[in-house]
Amino acid sequence: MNGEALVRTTGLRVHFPLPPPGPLRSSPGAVRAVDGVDLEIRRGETLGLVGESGCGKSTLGSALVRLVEPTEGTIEFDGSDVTAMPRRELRALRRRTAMIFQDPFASLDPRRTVGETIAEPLAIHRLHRGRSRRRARVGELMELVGLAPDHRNRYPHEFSGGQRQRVGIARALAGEPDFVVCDEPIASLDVSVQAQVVNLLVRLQREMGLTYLFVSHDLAAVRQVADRVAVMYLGRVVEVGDGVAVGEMPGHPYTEALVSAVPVPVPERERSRERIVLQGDIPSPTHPPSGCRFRTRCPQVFEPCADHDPVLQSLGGRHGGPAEQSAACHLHGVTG
Amino acid sequence: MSALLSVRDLAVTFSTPRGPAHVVGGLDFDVEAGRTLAIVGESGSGKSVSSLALLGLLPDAVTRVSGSAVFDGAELIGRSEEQLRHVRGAGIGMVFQDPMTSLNPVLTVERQLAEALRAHGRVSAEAVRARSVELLDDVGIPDAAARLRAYPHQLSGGMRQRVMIAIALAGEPRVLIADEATTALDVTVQAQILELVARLQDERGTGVVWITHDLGVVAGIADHVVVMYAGRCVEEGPVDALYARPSHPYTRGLLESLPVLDDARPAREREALTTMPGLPPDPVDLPPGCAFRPRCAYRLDPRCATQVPPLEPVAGSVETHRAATFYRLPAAGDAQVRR
Repeated sequence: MNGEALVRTTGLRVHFPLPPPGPLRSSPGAVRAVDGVDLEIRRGETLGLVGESGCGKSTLGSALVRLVEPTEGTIEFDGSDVTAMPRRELRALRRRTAMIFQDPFASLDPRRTVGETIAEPLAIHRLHRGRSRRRARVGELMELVGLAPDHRNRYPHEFSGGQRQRVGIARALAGEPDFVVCDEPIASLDVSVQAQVVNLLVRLQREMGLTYLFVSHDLAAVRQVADRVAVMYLGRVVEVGDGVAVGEMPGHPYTEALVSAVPVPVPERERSRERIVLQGDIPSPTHPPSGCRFRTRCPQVFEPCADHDPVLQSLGGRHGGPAEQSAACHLHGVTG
Repeated sequence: MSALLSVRDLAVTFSTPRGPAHVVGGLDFDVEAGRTLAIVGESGSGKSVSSLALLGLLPDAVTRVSGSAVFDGAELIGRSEEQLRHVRGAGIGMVFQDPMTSLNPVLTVERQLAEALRAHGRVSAEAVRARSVELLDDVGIPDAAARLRAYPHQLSGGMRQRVMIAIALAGEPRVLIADEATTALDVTVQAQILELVARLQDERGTGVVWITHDLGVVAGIADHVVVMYAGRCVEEGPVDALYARPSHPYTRGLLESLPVLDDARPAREREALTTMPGLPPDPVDLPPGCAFRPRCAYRLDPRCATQVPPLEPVAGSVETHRAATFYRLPAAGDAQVRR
C-alpha cells in the first residue's frame, strides 16, 4: 500500500466555461471546479476525498475516469498519460476503471432489468461472451454484492435504495476494474442501510485488491474506510495524508474546522466539544480569492495569505510519528 | 414545567390504492419552553408526518388524523383551516429541509418576509421593512438591508435556510419545528445554523422540535429524544440516559451502525460496522406484533410476534426513559454501546 501510484494527476484543472457575456454578466468566465490538483492514488489503497458541496470533489472523481474532460494538466493511469490517449486504448482503460454513483434512483435505467444493467459492461467490453456464460457471470456478480441472482429480471423500482446501490456496485465491478471511484455512495441511503453498503465496499476492496477513490462529505464514513484522506476546498487539495494523521491532527485550518463541525453521537462529548464555527460562505468558484483560497473564512489568516498561493508541503513526523501528511498553509512556513 | 405543546395518542393514516397506510400510531410527546425535543427516525418512520399532521398540513382527502395535540390550552386536531392558520406562524413556526423548494423562487426575500409579518396583523410598510431587516440581522445574514431585495437563487444554501428561519420567527412562535432543517447543508454551515437556533432559543425561550435522522446532531442539541420506527415511538428519554443505555434493539442498532469519527485507529484496523439486516416495513402491510421483529436480533419473546410492545420504563435508568420492547437488557455494565 505504500507502493506505487496507480493514478496520478499533475496540475489537473477542470473548468466549465460560462455562457458568453450578456446583459446580466459583463465578463466571460468559467467555474473553476478543479483548479490545480496534484494527487496520487496508490495501488490497493482507499483514498478518501472529503470537502463540502461545490469544492470540486465529484468533478475530480469524474475526471479520473474520464467522464469529464480535463481542461489542463495530466492524468496518469498505471504509468500512461490518459489525457493524450487514442480512442482504442481509452476503451481498454475504461474497462479498468469504474464509478459508483450517489443516487441509485437516478443512475439505473428504469426500463432495463437489473440483470441487463449489470450485463451491459460485459457486452461493451466483450467479456464472458455467449448467453449462458454471461448469464452465469451476472449471477455471480449479484451474489458478490449480496443480491439474489433470481431477481435478475426485476426492474430498479422493485428494489430498495440499498439494493439499488448494490446493483450499481455490481455493474461497476462487471468489467473487473482495478480502480473504482465511489462518488458519495452512501449519501442518499438511510442510516441503517449505510453501514451495510460501507461494509460491502470494504469487503470487496479487500477481496479483490481494488483501488478506491472514496468521495464523500461524511468525514466519519471516510475515516472508517480510507487509508489516506485528501481534503478539498474550492478546487484545490488543501491537505492530504495518512487518515489518522489528517483526522486526529489536522494540518490545515479548514480540515480542523471540518473535523470540529462533524457531530459525534455521544451527548457529553458533543456538548463540550470546541467547535470552530466558520463565518460566511464558500466564495464563488468563478472568482476564487487571491492567495490562499480559504483566507476569507480562515480564523488564523495573517499577512502572507492574500498575496501568496500556498503549495502542499510535507508536515511529516511533526507529531513525532512517521505518518505522512501534507498541507497547503502558510502557518507551516510561507510558500508560493 | 407545563408543556407548550402536548401530543397524545396521535395517529395518522393515509388511504392509498393498496389500502390504508398506518404512518403514525399512538405517538405521545411534550414540548417545553426553552427546551429541545428531538424526534429521530429514518425515512418513512413517520417523524415528519406527525408534525405536519399537528398543523393540518396534510391533504385532508386522503388523511385521517386522530388523537390529541394541545397547544396553548386549545386542541389542534380537528380544528378548521381558518383556526389553524392563526396557530401556524404565530404559535408554531416551521422550518423545512429544502429551502430551495420551500421558498418562492419568483419573490424577493422581503416579499416573503412581509407575507409572514402581515399574516398576523396589520402592519405598515415601514414597520415591515424595519422588522424584516431586524429578523435577517437576528439570523446572522450580513448586510441585511441589501439582502431584502435578493431572490432565493441569489443566496447560498446556508443563507436560504437562514431566511427560512427568519420567516418562521416572523410570527414570534413559541414552538419552532425544524424538519431536517440542516440535512441539506454542509457540516460547517450546519454548525452555524445549530449555533443560531441555540442562541435564539436562549433569548426567546422558544420550545424546539428538531426532527432528524442524525444522531450526532441530536446528541449535541436535544434535551429529550423520541426514537421512531414504523410510525411508533420505540424509545424515548432524556438524551444522556438514552445514549448511555439505549434499550430498544433498533436504537442500539442505529447507534452501533454509525462510523466513528474520534476513533484513532486506521481504517484497516477497525472492525466492520455493525449492521441491521433488512428494511423498515411497508406501512400498508405492517407485520403483526412488534414492527421491528423481522430485523431484530433479540426477538426471543413469544409476544414479539403477536403484541405491539408498550412503552415501559427502562430498568436501571431514569424514570422518564422508556422503551417499547419485550427484550430486557442485561444488567448495566455490558449494556454499553461500542463506540
